[in-house]
Amino acid sequence: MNLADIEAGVAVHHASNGVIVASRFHMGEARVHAPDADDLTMAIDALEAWHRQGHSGSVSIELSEEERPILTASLPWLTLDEAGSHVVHRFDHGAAVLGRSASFDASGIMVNSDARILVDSEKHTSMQEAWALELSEQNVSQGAYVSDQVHVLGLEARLGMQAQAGPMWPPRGSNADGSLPHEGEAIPLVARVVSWTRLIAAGCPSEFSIRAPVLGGLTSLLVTFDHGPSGVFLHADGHHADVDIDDEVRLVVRRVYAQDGTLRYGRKALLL
Amino acid sequence: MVDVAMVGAGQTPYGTHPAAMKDMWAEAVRDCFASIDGDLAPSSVEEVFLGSTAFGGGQLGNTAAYLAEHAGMAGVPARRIENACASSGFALRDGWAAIASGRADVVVVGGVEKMNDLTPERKRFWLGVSGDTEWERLAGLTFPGTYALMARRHMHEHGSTHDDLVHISVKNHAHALDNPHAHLRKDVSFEKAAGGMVIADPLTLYDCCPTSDGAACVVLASADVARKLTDTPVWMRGSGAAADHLALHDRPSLTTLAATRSAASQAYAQSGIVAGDLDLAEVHDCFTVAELLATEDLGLTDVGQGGRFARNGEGRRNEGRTTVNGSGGLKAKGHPLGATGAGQAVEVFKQLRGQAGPRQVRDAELGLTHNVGGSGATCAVHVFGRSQE
Repeated sequence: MNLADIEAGVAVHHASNGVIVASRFHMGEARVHAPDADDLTMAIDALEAWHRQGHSGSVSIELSEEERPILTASLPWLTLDEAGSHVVHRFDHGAAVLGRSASFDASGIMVNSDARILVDSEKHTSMQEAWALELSEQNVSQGAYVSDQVHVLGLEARLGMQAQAGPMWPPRGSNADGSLPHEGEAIPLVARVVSWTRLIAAGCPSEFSIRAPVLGGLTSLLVTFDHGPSGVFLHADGHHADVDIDDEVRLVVRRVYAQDGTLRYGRKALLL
Repeated sequence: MVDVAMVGAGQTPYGTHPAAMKDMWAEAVRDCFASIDGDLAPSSVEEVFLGSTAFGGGQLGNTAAYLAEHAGMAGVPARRIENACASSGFALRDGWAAIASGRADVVVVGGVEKMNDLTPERKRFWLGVSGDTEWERLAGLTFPGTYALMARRHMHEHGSTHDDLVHISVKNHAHALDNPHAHLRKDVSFEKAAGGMVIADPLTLYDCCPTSDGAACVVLASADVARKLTDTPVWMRGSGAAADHLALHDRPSLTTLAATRSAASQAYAQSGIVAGDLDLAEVHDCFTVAELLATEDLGLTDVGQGGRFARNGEGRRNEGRTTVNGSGGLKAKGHPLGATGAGQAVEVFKQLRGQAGPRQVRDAELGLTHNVGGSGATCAVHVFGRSQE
């Protein structure tokens, strides 16, 4: 199976009974995860690709205790059911399949050479080591401390883009008249660039101090949503992308940083 | 309301200071009280309003009491006022209000920050704590990043260029050459500033202020007391303050600071002046684009014309109508966060008393200070005059 189409940063093949997604990043012939992707984000990529085709319903997927709230917050439309009509399979080396079969042979999944992004093996290794260091229990981040409670309370807004009526996003505690904000709809995942910047590694927030030197800095985009609010998002996958004001972006789920030995995920932006 | 005047002002040099925070503050207080013409001892003031972010966290709690004690003001009611880089601008407003309301006759207002004794990692943490941590900082933004977003958008909307920002950098470095208290006293050519290392595209090293140690202090007095202490008080003619959304993405525009516009409008109305009356303005140029925006938001030039204002050198000392950052500004004088607003007032005090030496603005009658917190979440603007009305 040769995947040639690109959607939301991954190679995709849509079939009548499901979808296959694979990482575009390759080290020689070996497919690897993008710098801020992993098995979980790949599974979310597969489910979002499926949903963009108008599908929804119950899905079975094996998830760890830590992964479950991230996936459910990211995909509020999804019903998780061990006996679901579809099954998500995750594979090493950057691929995920959503289909009706209980098993899937992934050995034939290939990404078309035109769709590949070649990565330097030394850089890839450095990034994996940086994540491991950031994740280690011994690592005490010099960054701002967002407690686990605060982080969890923000998951639906951060990953599912859940807004308050208005729409108002990120969420507020009160309206200007003192009333409690009503729950609104989720914000669409496509937005337009209002401004952007690329920070050199030494200028990045200290939460990113271990990985930013490997990436050569971070690109942040301030984007606005149709009929709604704006937000700031990191560029996904560490691309050295040429961004222009008014470019359209799609928000995808990726690793953002690690704190207290736990990976924290959020939405990042990819140019359409 | 009681009229309020500055009767004394002093500061430490800005830069990498060999002294501890408490000793810097004591030095600024001594310098300030030495500038008072009449007799006044620190222990005789009624209140202390101290701006500081308590950078580094070494004395995060009860900072003001700790520092008051070390500067001869033990027992004087003191409090720390924190509004990021606008901390002492707001301390100035609170000190002014204490006297204007009739509650006090003599107060100390100041600020202090010790920034350069931290490891680079700790410094980066503290430099980022005043933005929106959850929704801005963790999207990769530090303040160079937020101001870079503003700069790029201004260029897009109004056709300003990076060269316009370079003109601001060159001007402020040139002004600082005449300021013995400035952190960066070096002549910077246009070519050098234009070729600086990119920090947050499109901003380069020469668009960014340094991180400075420093302390500044002023003494405010009611009109009756001021006249007893000096023949040349500097009158606080107007005080304005405002706040805005903390995160840049929550604001309707990236090319204007609504808090500056609101605070300036209040200060102008109270003082009965317009922007064109000002002889000097010490504006918050933490990044060059911040000065460009300030010249528009304060009304020194029209909306969208900040680039032209800079390009034409209209803020150069004694060249345009209003000298902008004649001290060197944050860009070159330095930016010890919590001390910056008070330090701006020290500069205006000297200018309006004709004591600014080689950097003296000719015939200075009216001056303004503009102190911004973070990327514009808070702002305090004050108008000062040689005359009471």
